[in-house]
Amino acid sequence: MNELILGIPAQYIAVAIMGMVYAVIIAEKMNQAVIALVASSLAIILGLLNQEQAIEAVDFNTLFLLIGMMVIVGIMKETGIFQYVAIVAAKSVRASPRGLMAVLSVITAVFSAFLDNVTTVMLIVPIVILLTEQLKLKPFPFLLAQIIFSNVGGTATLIGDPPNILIGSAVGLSFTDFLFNMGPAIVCIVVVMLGVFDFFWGRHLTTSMRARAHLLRYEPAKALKNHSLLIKSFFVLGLVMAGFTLGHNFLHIETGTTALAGAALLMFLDGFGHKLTEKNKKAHAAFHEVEWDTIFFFLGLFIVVASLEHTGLLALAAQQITSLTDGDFTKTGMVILWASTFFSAFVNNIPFVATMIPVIQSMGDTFGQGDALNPLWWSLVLGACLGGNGTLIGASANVMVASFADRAGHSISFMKYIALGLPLTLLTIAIANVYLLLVYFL
Amino acid sequence: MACTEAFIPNFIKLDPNQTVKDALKILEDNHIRVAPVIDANGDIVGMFGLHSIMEDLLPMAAQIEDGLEDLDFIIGGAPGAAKKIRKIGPRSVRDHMQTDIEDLLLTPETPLLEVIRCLTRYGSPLPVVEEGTRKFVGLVSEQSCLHCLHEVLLEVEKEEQGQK
Repeated sequence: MNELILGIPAQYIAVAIMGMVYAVIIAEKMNQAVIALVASSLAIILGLLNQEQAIEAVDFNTLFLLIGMMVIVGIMKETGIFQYVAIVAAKSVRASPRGLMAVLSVITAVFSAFLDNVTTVMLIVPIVILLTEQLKLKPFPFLLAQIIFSNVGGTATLIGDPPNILIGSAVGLSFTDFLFNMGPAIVCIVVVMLGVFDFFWGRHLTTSMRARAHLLRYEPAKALKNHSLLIKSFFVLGLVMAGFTLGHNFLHIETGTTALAGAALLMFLDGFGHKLTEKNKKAHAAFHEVEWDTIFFFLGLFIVVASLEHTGLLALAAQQITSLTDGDFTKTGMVILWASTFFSAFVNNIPFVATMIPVIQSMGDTFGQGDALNPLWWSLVLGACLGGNGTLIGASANVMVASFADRAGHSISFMKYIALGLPLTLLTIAIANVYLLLVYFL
Repeated sequence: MACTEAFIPNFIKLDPNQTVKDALKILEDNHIRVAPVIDANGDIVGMFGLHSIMEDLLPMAAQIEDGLEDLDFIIGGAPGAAKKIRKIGPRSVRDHMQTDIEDLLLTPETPLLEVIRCLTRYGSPLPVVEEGTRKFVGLVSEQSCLHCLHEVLLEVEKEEQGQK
């Protein structure tokens, strides 16, 4: 596309629009969804793509998956199951600070693999603050662990982190593809990070027997609020997981449909047997759980990236990367891994991944189509998700934990975080690098 | 009818440098739950009451925004909360008062219906300050409002009887 728009080459305009989105996100001067919608409107009005092309560019499977999971988790959190699990885990290690740090980290990693990272830390961090206050411990190492392990855990599955949802939906990688390919890498990283946290913090933590005894008197069963809803939630979550694996592989039902169907079923079951006003109230509350600004951020972004793609710029970027790496598959994978780590540490990884998807797809001409490109996708997944640990603004979960810490009077400064978070991130990326080389590139 | 008609005639003021222990004693002696905190310039700097002290007795995880919404599972927490009262007692009122009071402030010109709306939304009593400043001029409460409306009703009834 070599068109001129208002006398300016279309490619320049597309880059300027994308640059504006990045600049506003970095400057934090405007809501992300608003700037994405402003940018996508501009792209259409200026003629970078027409309305039909813009609608075609929206990946509704990703949006349905996000909306469905937000509704399911929103209803499920009312049951108190997350607090229950955290308290049971704390009691299982006899409230020892060292054990507590390990179990809370593992819980966060596991929850993050199946829930959105921000939701996970919103549910677990208040409990972490309570338990550390109870044991008279400084919460910082526990909060740092929450950040690191939420981003690590989120990398393991298709639904763990929005970049994975984007990649999985665009490329057709299934829930099981993610679990089998990313799962082993994440287990290795979790084990190493548990050791690191224990070495630097866990083994030095001490508390009084009296404080531990107090915590051991907690009754986790009382944290469970609505047993009937809990059973319904687990039933639906089981069906959704089966849908992600069996449904996708055998019935060819997309993950977005499965998640949205699960959300609809859970809302139906939640309202079952209640009066209409109560049913409406429950449905309204469930829809309220959807983070609509995230949904519209994605929607706008799909259109902005498509406008870049239409100008042929992303194909050009793909050519540049492959020529930079001399067309070497391994080198290209490593460049994607480290570049996505760097970008994700400093800017939101979602626009970066959305931009990289068509770039990598264009590399199919050099490296082959379909499964041949999978190692590059896994490089992008690992770099984009784990890179989010690099700085305090690298991922939304980090910002959320920092906000909780601030409210509780234990502020985490940007530099203090970077001094510890960045080396830990580099360590996780080094492990990922070795994993990628051993499993896919050598 | 304006806010000034519904002022509480006699009210208790607290000093931000008073200790929490002394302030609680004043509230108890005067059978009130909350009082405005006024600095040396006559400006309101906060509201101090039993509610804010109650909040301070909770674990931090339950005090913060989006924190824990129930603490059913904590058994035997009473001694810990009692110890917190002992710890808070010698501290100054300034450290334990409600400072985000912008929404609570009324002015002498605020119409009575708006005063009633604010009382239903933010609780009672509410401070009244000079327009555009923090200069404290008085308090209105649910009781003082109802008393004022009762006076209005008597006047209305008198007028109606006169017309008959």
